[in-house]
Amino acid sequence: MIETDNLIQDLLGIGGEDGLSTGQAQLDAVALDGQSPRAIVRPSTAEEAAAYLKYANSHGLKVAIRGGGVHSGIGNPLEWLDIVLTTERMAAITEYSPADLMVGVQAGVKLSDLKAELAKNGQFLPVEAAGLLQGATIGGAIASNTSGPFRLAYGPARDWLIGVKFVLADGTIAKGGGKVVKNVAGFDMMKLFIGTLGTLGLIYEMNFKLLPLPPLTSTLVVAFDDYQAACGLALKAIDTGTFPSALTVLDRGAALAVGLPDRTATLLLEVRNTAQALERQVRDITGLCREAGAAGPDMLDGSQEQHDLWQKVTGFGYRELSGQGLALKVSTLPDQSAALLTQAHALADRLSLRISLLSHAGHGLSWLTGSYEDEDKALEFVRELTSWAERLGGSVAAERLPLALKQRVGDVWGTALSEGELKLMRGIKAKLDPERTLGPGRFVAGI
Amino acid sequence: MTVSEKETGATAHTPKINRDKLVRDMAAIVGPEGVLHKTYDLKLYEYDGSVDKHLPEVVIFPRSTEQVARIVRYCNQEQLYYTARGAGTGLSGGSIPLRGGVLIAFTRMNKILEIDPENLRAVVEPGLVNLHLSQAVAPYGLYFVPDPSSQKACTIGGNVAENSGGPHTLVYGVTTNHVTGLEVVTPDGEIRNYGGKATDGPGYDLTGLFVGSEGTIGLVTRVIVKLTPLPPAVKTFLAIFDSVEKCSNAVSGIIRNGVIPAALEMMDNLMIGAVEASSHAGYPLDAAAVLLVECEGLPAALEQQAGTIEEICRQEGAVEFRTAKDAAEREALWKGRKGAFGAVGRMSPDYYVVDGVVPRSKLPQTLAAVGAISQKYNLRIANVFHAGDGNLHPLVMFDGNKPGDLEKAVKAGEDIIRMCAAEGGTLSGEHGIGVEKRDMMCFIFNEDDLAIMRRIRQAFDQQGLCNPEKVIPTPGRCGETRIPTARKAQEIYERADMQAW
Repeated sequence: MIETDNLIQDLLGIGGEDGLSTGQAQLDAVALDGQSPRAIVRPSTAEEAAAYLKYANSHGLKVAIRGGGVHSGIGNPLEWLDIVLTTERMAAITEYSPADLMVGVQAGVKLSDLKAELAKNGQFLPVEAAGLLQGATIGGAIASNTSGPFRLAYGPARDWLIGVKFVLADGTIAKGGGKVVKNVAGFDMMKLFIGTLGTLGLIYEMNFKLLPLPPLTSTLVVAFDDYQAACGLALKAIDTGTFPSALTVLDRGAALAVGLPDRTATLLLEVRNTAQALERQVRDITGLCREAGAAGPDMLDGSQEQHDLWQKVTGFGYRELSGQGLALKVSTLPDQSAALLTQAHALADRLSLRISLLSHAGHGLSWLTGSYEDEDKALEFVRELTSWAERLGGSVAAERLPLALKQRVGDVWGTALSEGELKLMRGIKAKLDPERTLGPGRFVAGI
Repeated sequence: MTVSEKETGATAHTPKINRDKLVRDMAAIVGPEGVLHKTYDLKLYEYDGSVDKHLPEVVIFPRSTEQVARIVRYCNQEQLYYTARGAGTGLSGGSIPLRGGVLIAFTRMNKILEIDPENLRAVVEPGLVNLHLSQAVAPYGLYFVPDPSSQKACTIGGNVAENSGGPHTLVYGVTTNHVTGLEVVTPDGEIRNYGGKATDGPGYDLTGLFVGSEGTIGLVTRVIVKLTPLPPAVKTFLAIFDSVEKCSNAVSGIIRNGVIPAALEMMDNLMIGAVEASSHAGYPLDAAAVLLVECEGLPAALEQQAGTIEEICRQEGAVEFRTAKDAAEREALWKGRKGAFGAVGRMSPDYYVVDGVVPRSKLPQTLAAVGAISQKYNLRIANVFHAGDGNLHPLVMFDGNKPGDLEKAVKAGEDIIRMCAAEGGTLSGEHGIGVEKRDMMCFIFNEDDLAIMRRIRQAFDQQGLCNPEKVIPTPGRCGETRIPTARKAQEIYERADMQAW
């Protein structure tokens, strides 16, 4: 193992002082799973990043990649950490062609900055992530495959990523895809790299397709006495062709967390369209509410008010963990939202956890946050909810857990994958990062 | 034989095999009615919709995943190449058994296993015809978005392999955006499940990697597709232009203004002539170019969108703007559009379909460049394409019986692809790389990019037997004009091996 003094000299030789931080406070601030790195490197170009990675790779040093640090806690415990590589100095919009509805961005661009830049041209990128206000980067959002309520209308982030440039652990700089919206040349490296948490390589630049901002939006808030009725109306809104763009069911805790009134179940719907069409959508949804015997809906018309509410909904899964808290991302089929709400609350009551749950009933992703006193019971909660979801063909990702609990959970992604699929995934990892330089242990089954 | 030898093409032929034994062993897996081996029968399976061809040793028709797995394990044991085939409508040679061996045809695995309207999913076998899926789910008010022009024949498995598109993928995306899970027989002969009905399962996105891998990293035996609610209203219209330039400016204008219709298709005068001669769809013969536009959604929104598009078209100089007055008119227009490739067959003994993509703002200069290429080679080129995606389909007309014409057509196609790449576009929007464009991959990818794709492929297929010589070029061979050589090799192959059968 290389001595830290030599390590620092070598890293200085690659990227100079601008590219290196070694102050203890700085190192501790980027600690992962209780491990502070020996150095932070901040490459400003792909070539510099390649040089750092190649150096680490050939010296048996382990590297974690960091964007805004918002999603860095996701994953299994890191086996070892020597260097944190941050994308903060690779933060340029490299190409923006509004006429082509296409943007090229470096990994370190903050989502909030990108959003503001695109909005100047009346455009947006339907990639949603918690931690928007806490400095989430586009690279981090793609590396952790984040989602939000508007996935119902626009599909997952993978549908918008049309090109990717990356650096492998051995320093190879390469790419996949391109700048055009339709492209079947070669393997789909975008799909391979999204959601890999930096375990296959550093994604340093991405191209996305864009959309024009919707002309008008309306948000409807409907209160219910039970989850079943709220989720039932959500599915009905799709089924009857009202074309909602977002459908989110919140339990009492989640409603309070996003600043809504204290109700057993709240359904949030958003529709976006031209004025005339919007009026019709709102009328149809109001009709559905009446049929279902629900009060309301309450309308949020002010665009700032709507924006703030949906931002809170998107950010729901993200919180600085203080003490004994957890955040789970649950994937089920859309028609299982009500069952999930019921199941999770029954489990939480039995195991004395305080939980809040928010379910995007239209696309099947839900976020649950909770706090606990008894770690054994919290462990049982995670395991039982995970096996419940897996039995129904879904999955649970325990995205944020205190280290002590994380170490006991086994795999934060549960046990949905069989040994056969894992073998293929290990095979891919072995081809792209044979030395296990990048985030060793962090990915599924300790890949 | 090592992988690297195969990768470099050092070995030109499948090892000499005992055909009688092969046929017997395959019949033991799928039954004698599931094996074709007579040269007469094999000739029907040596080609697809592209210009290449090569005979397989046998064609085998499995009926179950288990049978597919046994075939693959057998091929591994006997060191036989194997290639999957759907309906054979591919346009880049993806299903051509370039090294002979076993051709696995999926046409008998064509069942719909499950329709789950509540969750917008269906589970289907790969041999299911694309259109049959949309027809089966229509009673639920749903459809499967990707609609390649060959949708009456092409299979879902083929769509998965090629990541197929179609005219209506502008808003909702191509095949990869509509597949959430796969059952795959890996090149190890194992049955694996990628993804599922629910999304965001743990691990690397093997489903996303598989879609569009052109049958090179395994054989799909079951597909979980995402279904989409049928639009409540559709409006189809035709904008007519007296110059190609004005028409392509209108396309750029529509995209620039952020009005994205469900379909935005362009045809030039030559193409309109061909379509009208074959289908009398109602396109104006004297137009220099037309835009076929389709908007869908809620009726009120539709009116407004159509209004905006009409305004842009008129600003860019459209001479006329016609709305299809009923379903029959709409269907006639689409029938004409989807029959465009076939229609060119009436005008020219042979044609070569080119599939390239450019950024949408570059359409005007791109079309001008295609015109210049047509003049350079003195070959007529008809243009029909998915304008909204920037996805060109120039059809280069030639006469295969005229010496040198095929080579000219291939070179013209290559010039068009080079130009697309130079404009910041790509080699293929939806037809695939296959063998047709394998050696053009270096127009957009460097050796490092390609080497990584090779590594990925090896992670799945250590033996290199699964659909050999496709998609990723052999190092150093990139950039060579290939098709005439392939034809020559084929002739030699036929002379040497055919009589023996």
